[in-house]
Amino acid sequence: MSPETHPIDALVDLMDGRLSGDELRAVEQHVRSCSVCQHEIAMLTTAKQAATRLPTISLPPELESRVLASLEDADHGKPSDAPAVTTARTQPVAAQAFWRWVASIGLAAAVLVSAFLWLRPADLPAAAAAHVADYTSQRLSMDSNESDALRLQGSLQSRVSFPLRVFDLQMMGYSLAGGRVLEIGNRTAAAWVYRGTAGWLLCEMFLGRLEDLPRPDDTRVTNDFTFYVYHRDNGTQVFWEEGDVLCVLASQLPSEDVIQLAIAKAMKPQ
Amino acid sequence: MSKERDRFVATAVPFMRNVYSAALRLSGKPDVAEDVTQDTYLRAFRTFDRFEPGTDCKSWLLTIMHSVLINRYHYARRHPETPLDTVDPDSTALASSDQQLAAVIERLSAPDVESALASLPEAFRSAVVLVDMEDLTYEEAARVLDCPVGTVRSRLYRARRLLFDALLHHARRAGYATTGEQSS
Repeated sequence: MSPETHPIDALVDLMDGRLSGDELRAVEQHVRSCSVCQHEIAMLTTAKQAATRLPTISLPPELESRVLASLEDADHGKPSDAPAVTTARTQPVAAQAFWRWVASIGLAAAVLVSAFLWLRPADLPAAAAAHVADYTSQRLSMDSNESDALRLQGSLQSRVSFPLRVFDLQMMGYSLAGGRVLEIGNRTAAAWVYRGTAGWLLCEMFLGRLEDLPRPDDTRVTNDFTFYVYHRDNGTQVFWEEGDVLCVLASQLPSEDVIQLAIAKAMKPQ
Repeated sequence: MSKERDRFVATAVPFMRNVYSAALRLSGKPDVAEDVTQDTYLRAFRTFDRFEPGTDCKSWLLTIMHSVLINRYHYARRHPETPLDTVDPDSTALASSDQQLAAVIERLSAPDVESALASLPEAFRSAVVLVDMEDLTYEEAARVLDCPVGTVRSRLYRARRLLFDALLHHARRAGYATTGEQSS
C-alpha cells in the first residue's frame, strides 16, 4: 500500500473491527507510517464515540400501552384462544312485556348488525379480485378506452382527490385498455386495465394504508416497499403504499408475474 | 390474548425503545416517531409468521420501521453519495492534538451531540443511528436501508466526518477552546 494513497474505506473497516489477516496487517502497517490516516482515524473515532455515548431515548408514557392496545384490536379479526362467550340467561317476564322486549331487542340488533356491516373493514383483496372477475366476464366496463398512460392519468386525476400515477407496462407486453372511477370497500378508487397476450391486469389506487388490509397470504419487502400478497378468487392481488395512497395490482395471471410487475412499478411519491 | 400475540409481544416489545429511538433520531419529530413505532408494531404483528425465530428481531423491526418512515411519512430519502476517493483526508488540518480535541468534544452535553447528529443529511444520519447507536452490522444496516454494504461503509465514513465537524462547531459555540483546529 502506497503511503501516498489513503485507504479511506479500509480505515472505516479497521476502526469497526472488520478487517482480518493480510488485509488487516497491510492497513495497520500503512496507518503506523501515515500521519494523515492516524489523524483521520482519530477524528472518525471521536465522532463515533460521541454518538455511541448518547443514551437510548426513553419511551414516551403511554406509547407501549397504546401499541399493545392496537395489537389487541388487530388481533380481534384472528382466531382467538379465548373460550367463546356464553349467553346470559334471562329472567321470566310477563307475556306482553316480554314481546315488547323481544321487539325492542330485535330492532336494536338490526341496527347494530347494519352498523357492523357498514363499519366493519371491507375485504379489499376480495373486492379487487371481484373487480377482475367482473371485468373479464364483462359485468364491469371501463368509462374510457384511452390507451395513452398520461392522457388516462389526466382524465382520472380530475375525478379523484389523491395523487394518481398511471404507469406504463408497454415494455412488459401489456397495453392500457382504459380506466374508470369506481368504489372499492366504500372508498373512491381510480381503476385501469392492461391487456396482455396471457390475460388482463387491473390496477386500482385509493386512499388507504396497508393496516387497512387483512393478514396477507404472503409478504415481500424490497426497495423500501412492503407488498402484501393475497390469493383471492383464483387470482393474485398485490397491495403496496405510495404515500397515503394504497395501490393494488390484481390479475388471474400467474401469481409471481403479478408480484414482479408490482415490484417493478412501485414508486415513491415525489 | 391469543398465543400468537403473546409470542409476538414477548419477542418484539422488548425492542420498542430501539424502534422509537431510531424513528425519533431519523424523523426528528416525537409525534411522527410515536406513530411510526405503532405502525411498525402493527405491521410486524401482521407479518410475524414470516419472522424466523432465532434471527435478529431488532434488525427486522428496524427494517419495517424504515420502510414505514419512507413510505408513509415521505421521509426524505436523499442519497448524497460522495465517492470516497473525492474526499480529501487532509481537509481538516488540526493545530491542536487529536487527544486534546477528543477531550473537548467529550465534554459536550448530550443535547449538543444530538443536535450535531440531527444536522447530518438523512442518508448519513441513518447509517450512524443504525450502526453506531443500534449496533447493527454493516450487513444488517444494508438490509434496513436497502442498499449495498459498500454504500453503508461510505455513508458511515462521510457521516462520522460530518459529525466530527458538527461537534467541533458545537464545541466552539459552547466556548471550549479549539483554537486553530480547523482550516478546511
